[in-house]
Amino acid sequence: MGKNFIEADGDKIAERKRAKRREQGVALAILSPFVIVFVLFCVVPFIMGFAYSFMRYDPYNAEYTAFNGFKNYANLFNTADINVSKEFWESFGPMLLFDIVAVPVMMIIPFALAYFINMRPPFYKFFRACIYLPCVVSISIMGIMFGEMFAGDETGLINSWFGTNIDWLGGKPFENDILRWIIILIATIWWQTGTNFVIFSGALRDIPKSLYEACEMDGGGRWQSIIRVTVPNVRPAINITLFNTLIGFLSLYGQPYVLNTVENQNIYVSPMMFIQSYLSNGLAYAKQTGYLCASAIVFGVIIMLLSFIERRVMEERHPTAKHVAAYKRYCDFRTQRLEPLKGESK
Amino acid sequence: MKKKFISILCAALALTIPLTATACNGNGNGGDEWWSTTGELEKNGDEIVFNDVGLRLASIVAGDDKEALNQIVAQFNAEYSGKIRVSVTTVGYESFEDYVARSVKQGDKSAPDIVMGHQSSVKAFLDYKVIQPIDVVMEQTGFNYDLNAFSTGINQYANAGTDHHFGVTVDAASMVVFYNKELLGRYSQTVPSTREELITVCEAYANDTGNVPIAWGTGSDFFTEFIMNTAVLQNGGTLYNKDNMRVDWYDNTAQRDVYKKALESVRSFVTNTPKLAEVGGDDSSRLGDFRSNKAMFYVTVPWLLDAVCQGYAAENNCTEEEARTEKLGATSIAGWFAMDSSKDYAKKIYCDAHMFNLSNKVTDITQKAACLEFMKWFTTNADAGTQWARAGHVSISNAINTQDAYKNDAVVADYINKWYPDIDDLNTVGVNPYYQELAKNLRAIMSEGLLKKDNSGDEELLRTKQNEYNSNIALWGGDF
Repeated sequence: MGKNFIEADGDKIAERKRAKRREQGVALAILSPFVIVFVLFCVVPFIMGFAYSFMRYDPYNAEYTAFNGFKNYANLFNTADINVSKEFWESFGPMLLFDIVAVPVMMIIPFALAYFINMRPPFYKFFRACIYLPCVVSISIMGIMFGEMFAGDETGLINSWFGTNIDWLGGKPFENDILRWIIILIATIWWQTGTNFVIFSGALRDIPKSLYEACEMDGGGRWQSIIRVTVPNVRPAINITLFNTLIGFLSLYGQPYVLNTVENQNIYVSPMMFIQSYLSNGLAYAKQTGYLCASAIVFGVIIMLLSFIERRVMEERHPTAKHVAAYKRYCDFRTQRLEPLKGESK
Repeated sequence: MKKKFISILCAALALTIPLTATACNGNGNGGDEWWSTTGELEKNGDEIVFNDVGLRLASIVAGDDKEALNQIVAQFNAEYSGKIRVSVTTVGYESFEDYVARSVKQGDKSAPDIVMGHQSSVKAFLDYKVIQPIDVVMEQTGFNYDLNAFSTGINQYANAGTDHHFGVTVDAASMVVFYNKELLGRYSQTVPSTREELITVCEAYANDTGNVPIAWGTGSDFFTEFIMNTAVLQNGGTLYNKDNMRVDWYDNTAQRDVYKKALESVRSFVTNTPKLAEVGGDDSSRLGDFRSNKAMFYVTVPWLLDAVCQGYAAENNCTEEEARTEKLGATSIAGWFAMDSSKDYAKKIYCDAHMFNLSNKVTDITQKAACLEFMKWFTTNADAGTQWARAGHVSISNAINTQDAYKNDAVVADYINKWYPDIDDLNTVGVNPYYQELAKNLRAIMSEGLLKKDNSGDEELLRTKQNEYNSNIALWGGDF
């Protein structure tokens, strides 16, 4: 006796479930190398760092290790008595100021370049390669190049060309290091523009030409086509590049590390420099590993907070009554404009 | 959502506890003697029998001199074939202390038996019980090795402030001076040996030619640290209080005066009329002035000897050998920054020194003796000393310095011994575990002080850096 419909359906469902599980298994197998690495080198260290931040912890001396509650955090906020804590909080200032300038710049310049390259001017492939090429250069090489160009004596390339003796990379934060930050910004633009440029280029190519034509028919000019067509259509690309750029610049480390002079090389201009410097500088700092972990956790929380704000600001909003009313007005306007044209064509 | 968050937090904490416990699994031996000895020594008469003993040497030497070290070790291995074999692991400066401490404490098989680091690390290694005393091994084995036949200025720190001897200091390196023989010969019959003589000859040259006589790169780490510390020592100052590691650069008026003098002694070369030296640049950028016969003196690090001679030869149509022997000469910075050249301390030179330590990993008595045999060979063998000196490290061992094979070597005679006329005048930072913090602040004093045109801001600079250093080491020392 053959199976009835219910049993046959049950077999099909079971078969579909098995197939789905197989697919999930394959997906998991493909993902597993990343997951393992991520867990081992991100999740586990994070959890350990979080735990150590509540401890008096010395990695080389078990006897010293003890739970000490929020003492490391209290020390971190005690800037009156602890100079290192002051250094930590002061390191945020230059970084945040740099980010306020650099993040928009690193969005606008790649976007503008991608926009013009997308118009396919002569030799656009050559220019495209030129824009992307610096991305393959390591930060050390970038540091050597710009360091030699802007060396602060007559042997620096720029000083040598112009017969000047400008201390380009010297100075202290908020006192006299504005030139240094301008050089860091120029170096960053040269070095990192290609990454966002590639993402914007891809997004711009995907915008249907019909949308630009429709905009033109509606009387929109070049500027309006950028604002009304291009930007809304590359919004996902803007979101991802803005997020990546913001996170990257909040973790600013390499550029100020390689572009400095002897008098400011030990001034921490970003929390990453602070943490890295003390964590990797010998046994003398080992007794305060918990304190350094606490500083890393606080820094991480601040990055998460700023990223969260960025996501909230950039997220797609559902149409509100105000938007619906505006759209209705637009439709009415279009109808009124097109009615006479329809009459003429008849 | 809330439940999910709580469950993730619980899982994280559950994972943390075993991880933390694992990470804290250090050596809990807290007794007075943390080292131990196993096995029995086999002797043939007075000689210890080594039967293919394998040793691991962890070395901080990672620059151009690494090749020289490898060759010296290869020579040792050839001489002790079948008896002792040393293999070298090079570890970068930034991770050296961590590598040694972690591997020894965890009992890694690959942990070093001999540690070749900077002398400044010895106190930290000792605090963490990563190394063991050498004199105890000598007693146990009857090993014959004079641990006091070294530069007194440097060897004073070999006991790290204890009753035991914890290391064998191998070498030293400081800022050194090249001079242009022809240019100097025009203005002086002798090489200046005091600050006054130096300024006289430099002023004569500068007035005559309009060139800046001294080429130095004040923008390099080595310059700011080595010259600042040398200037302090040559004016009778101390770098820190050896009892508590704190500094009183401002609070102690005598020290304050010394530090102000030290700053002024360097700055005056720059502010002098005519100008005797420039501010800024590094060793390589200033070399051009010396190669092109504009600068009479070139102050740099000793391991650039080959580069300086090659560069000079390339620009002046002569061979490297001619540059080394006929065109260029060597002198030391002894006395250059002493405001009073009659004082005993006027000739002191601040150096960095490499030191051999015996790792606490080694327990077998024969292996311990083999480590000592290697250290002794390295610090008494003239060939090894010469090779190492040619790589830029003067031997501070009297056993090497007194041998003709070392003294008569061309490079040693013409350069090394001129750079370091008296090895007893050499001084290091000693055994301050907060060496990095100290160096950071001293470099800042020098680099910021040199940017000022006069001494009006010196006291404030000293006060700020003193307080920063003292506050920082209070935190790192665990006071908070």
